[in-house]
Amino acid sequence: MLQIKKIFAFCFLSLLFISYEAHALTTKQANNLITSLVEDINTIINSNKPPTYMYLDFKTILTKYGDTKIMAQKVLGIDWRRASIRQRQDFQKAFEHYLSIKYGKRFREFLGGVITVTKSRKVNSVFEVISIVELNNQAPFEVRWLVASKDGTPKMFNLFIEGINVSSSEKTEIGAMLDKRKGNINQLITHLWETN
Amino acid sequence: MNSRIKITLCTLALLAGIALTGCTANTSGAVIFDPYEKTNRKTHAFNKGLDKAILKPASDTYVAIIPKPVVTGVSNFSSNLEIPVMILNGLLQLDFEGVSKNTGRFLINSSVGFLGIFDVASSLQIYGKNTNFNETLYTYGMGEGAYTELPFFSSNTERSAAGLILNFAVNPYQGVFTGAREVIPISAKVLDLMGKRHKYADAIEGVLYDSDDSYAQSRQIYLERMRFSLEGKLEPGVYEDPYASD
Repeated sequence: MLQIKKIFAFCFLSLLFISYEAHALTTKQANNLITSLVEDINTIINSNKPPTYMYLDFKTILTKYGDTKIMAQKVLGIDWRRASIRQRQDFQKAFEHYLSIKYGKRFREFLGGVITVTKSRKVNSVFEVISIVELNNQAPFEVRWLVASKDGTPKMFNLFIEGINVSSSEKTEIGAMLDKRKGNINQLITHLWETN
Repeated sequence: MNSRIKITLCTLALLAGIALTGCTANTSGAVIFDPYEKTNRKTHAFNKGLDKAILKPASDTYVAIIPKPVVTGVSNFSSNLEIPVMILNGLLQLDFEGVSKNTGRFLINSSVGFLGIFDVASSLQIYGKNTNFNETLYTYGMGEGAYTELPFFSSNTERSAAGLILNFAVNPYQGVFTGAREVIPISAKVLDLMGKRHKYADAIEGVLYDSDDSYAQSRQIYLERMRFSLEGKLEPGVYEDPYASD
């Protein structure tokens, strides 16, 4: 009887391990995700498209490589909990629009430049991918990307431009927007859609 | 005594003085330590008014009437003048790699670059190591102190404000720009600022005028960027797995 119990326990643990391994990412996967992301950005910033089209392209990148739900949840912070399901979904969509325009503008300034992934490493259970932005006649600077495993799929959930934490800056900003609208989430959503 | 040695000694004395008087201690452990927020917000409003009324219109006019190569030349000239103080800081920090980079840049741009007007070094991909007294004080173990928004000098900490004072105290151009020429470095600096205000208009105005709390945004951006440039790493808290709590 004890033997059978042991075998069961072994099988159970093995299954746990296998399912854990299936969800575990490798540094290489995280590195590949961001390499492909920055290649897409390089293509956009050197495409000579009108800004409005570029922002749409940035939005595609953001939703393709990033987990905008987790980003939206993070920036809304404590207010995410009191938001209805509908409000959460609407906020996420509006936030995608706002982010792609706001940061699309910053990335557009890299026109003529090139972003290259240089290093990746695992920190705790997430991955940090470091990229260097090289612009004409200007000292290169870093953009760092954080990647985590969403059920085994690598997803970008935050970025740091020269050390500036985008998620945390936006948490401050969204908080200020919400305060100005006396905590009204629907008004906040409308305001985010007005970003241009 | 050689004037250069005098300057270095004065600097060291000032460094020691500041380190002894010290900054407001951050006993709360908060990432943003801003006990003077009320005053700071007033100063921020003042600086914003200054930007709107003077700096922005002046910089737009400057860039509109002065040909671009001249704007760039003046900016290069001013940046080049700042390198000797960076070299001094590099020496105080014992950062010899930075010192050699900056020295190389200064020599190339001052000679081939015609007094620094042409940034020949950058086109040869020789970039300097940007540094200042804030970094030197950091290297000597001084805490950053409270966040401080200074009139005209925008976002600072008590430590970087002390650095600014040192920067004024150390004038490497005594005997170089004499008499009426004394105004050259400061005029070049003001024109450089105007050029940069125009060059980075989108980013600056995005923070100052598009944000619903421009004070909080400027403070956060300044602190994160400054800490990252000094430490070369992110805060440990950012590596939290967003899916872990699900």
